[in-house]
Amino acid sequence: MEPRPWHRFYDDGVPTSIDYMDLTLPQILDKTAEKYKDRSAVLFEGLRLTYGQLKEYVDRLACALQAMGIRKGDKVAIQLPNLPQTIIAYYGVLKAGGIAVMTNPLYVAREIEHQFNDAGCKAAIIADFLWMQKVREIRDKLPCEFYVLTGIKDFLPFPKNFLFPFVAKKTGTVVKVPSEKGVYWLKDLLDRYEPAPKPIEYDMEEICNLQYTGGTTGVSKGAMLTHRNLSYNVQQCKAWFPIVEEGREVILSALPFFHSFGLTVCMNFAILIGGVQIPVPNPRDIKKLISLIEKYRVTLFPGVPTLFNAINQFPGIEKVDIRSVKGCISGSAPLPIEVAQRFEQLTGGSIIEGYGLTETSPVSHANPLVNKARRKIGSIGLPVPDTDCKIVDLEEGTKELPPGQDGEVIIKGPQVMKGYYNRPDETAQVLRDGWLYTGDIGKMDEDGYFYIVGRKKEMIIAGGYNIYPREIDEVLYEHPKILEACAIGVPDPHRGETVKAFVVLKPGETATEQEIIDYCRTKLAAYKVPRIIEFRDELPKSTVGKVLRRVLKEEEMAKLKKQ
Amino acid sequence: MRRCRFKRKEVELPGIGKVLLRLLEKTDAPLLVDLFYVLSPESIYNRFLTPVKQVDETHLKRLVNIDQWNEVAIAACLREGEKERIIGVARFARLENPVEAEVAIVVGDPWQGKGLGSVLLKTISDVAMKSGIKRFFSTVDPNNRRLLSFAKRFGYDYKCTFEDGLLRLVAEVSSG
Repeated sequence: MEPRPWHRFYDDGVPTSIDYMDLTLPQILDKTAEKYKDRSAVLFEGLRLTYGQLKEYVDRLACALQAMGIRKGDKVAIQLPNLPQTIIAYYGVLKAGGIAVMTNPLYVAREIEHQFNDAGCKAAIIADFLWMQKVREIRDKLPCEFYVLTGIKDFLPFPKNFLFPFVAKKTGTVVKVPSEKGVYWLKDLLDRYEPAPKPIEYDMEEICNLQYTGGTTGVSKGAMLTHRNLSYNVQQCKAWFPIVEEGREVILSALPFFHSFGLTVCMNFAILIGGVQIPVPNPRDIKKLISLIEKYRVTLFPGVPTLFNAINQFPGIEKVDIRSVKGCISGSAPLPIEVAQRFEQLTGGSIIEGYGLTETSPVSHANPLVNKARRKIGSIGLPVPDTDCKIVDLEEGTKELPPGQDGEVIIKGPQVMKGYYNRPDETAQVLRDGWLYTGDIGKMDEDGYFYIVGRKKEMIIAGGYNIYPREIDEVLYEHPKILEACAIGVPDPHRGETVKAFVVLKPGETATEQEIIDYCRTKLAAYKVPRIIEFRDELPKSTVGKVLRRVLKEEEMAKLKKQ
Repeated sequence: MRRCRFKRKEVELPGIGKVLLRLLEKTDAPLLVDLFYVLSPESIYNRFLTPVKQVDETHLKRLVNIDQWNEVAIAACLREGEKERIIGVARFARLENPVEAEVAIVVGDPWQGKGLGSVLLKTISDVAMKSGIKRFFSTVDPNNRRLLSFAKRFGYDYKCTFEDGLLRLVAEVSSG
């Protein structure tokens, strides 16, 4: 690639262009398993899986899926929290030739129905409690021919597997599953099938994941990420971290695997570098998170600002030794300087802010990790190797703007998706001549560092999740008592932002705040559900009748200032 | 009371036929409701910036109860037998500074892409100029690229600023 201003500020040893291995993710696993057969790949609640064992499980599952009718290009949904099984399921689906459709376990029936049908999933690998709570009852509306279930306890060693039902009763994660046609258990399949799947002829340009992302139009759409996208992006990440020692790192996989960030920088990254990863199903349990860092001497910890902040604030954290942590990448929301400084003080490691989108697999930008003088606070950093980035005018997106001017951030690189599945119009809107139009407003400084200054799309970021207010509005408008509704993001000390909805009831109707929240719970994943409802006689509108979300936000901010 | 100067007129549009352009009347409320129900969810969102599903009576009254000086609305109508059907509306509303106004245009989905938007924008721009309006403002969803390029093609060399997920356009009023 041609020289760019930002190349001068790369850490020493980071190339501007990479000589990639043309391997798919399951091929990378095979390679690592060959090299580090007996080294730990996964640690989980006393379970230790070596790379040799992990590969064997993956091969057994792939063999089972093929025997059950999964052919190249078939979509298989995976709806699991971070567990050893999630890694086996993901690599197993790819090895069988399938396309993985990662699904948020927090999704409710309405969202699952949309995603499984939009993708046309032929099968699904699901946590047993999710099956019982959400999926089983809508089975008739889903396109899946069969389901593979797994319980959290399935991979726990004795006595934890024995004790688990007593512990988990409180959380609702222990369930009795009636046997029925087309429903199988992952454990049985791994016992029954040989680790000998039929080899798949991969093409790097073929789809590897349908990675769903919320839409400004209210429905989520599947970003088609190819084998090249995901494999090259994890290789780009490796190149960005010159401090990484192959076969020696301990990665805390606290970011959800169903999200592109956790998928690439935790799950796939650990496997590429032959590291050992610790899947964390519930990253909100900060005490547990800290004890894992301490116990396993975690070296790499990708996260989000709210997570780092929660650790900073944890009572007595100064007395815990978490100085094994040497590198962290923070994404999904701006990283406040105080949070970064305190975390670096506690760990002695480096924490850098990065940036990316589901559509870029996801990493496109990051600050240099090693040379602290080359980091810029408030910046999302530099485009990673082989990644080009420009700021263009907001209206047409055809004119490149000079440094310092605000415009739309557009990105080109091997990690940019192929398009949105079955949505040619929306694809044409965001992909032009190989450039991805991010919808984020930003600027570049003279040195080639990029800054995000606003969002072209209306979005709320709560606890690391992107939430589109339009989706919440759409759900509220479906309520029989609601005439008008408007959701906004309001500051929240724990989640960064949280959702507040303003509601105008139809004439003569009455409703309580709780009633509206309960209704939303049936239609939206928990993190999207408004926490605060305010009833109004009308919504603020412009002179020609356009709803002014901005005015509601300003009113909220003014109220906060007064407090 | 002061009213804008506008004489009703008929234009012929290929693909639509004879379209009558006239001021919106207070009695047009039911015709606006009919128009609302031929708008796609995208058109509704782009016009009101909210995915509203039904017409609110209070809001509807406000849209038709206008003085035709500070707030002016032009309706594009088709004759259907004895009845009239509104297929598009262009309006402006003066802002605090009386030479500035917010502008909005809506065309029913079955009649989009046939030149009616341009006719409405030209008509409302002419009326605005005659009424002393110098600048138009509009808040649009940035994904509404269709409108952004339409305005440019029409001859509106607008400047835009970005406000919390929306674009605020400003342009000197011109007749295209």
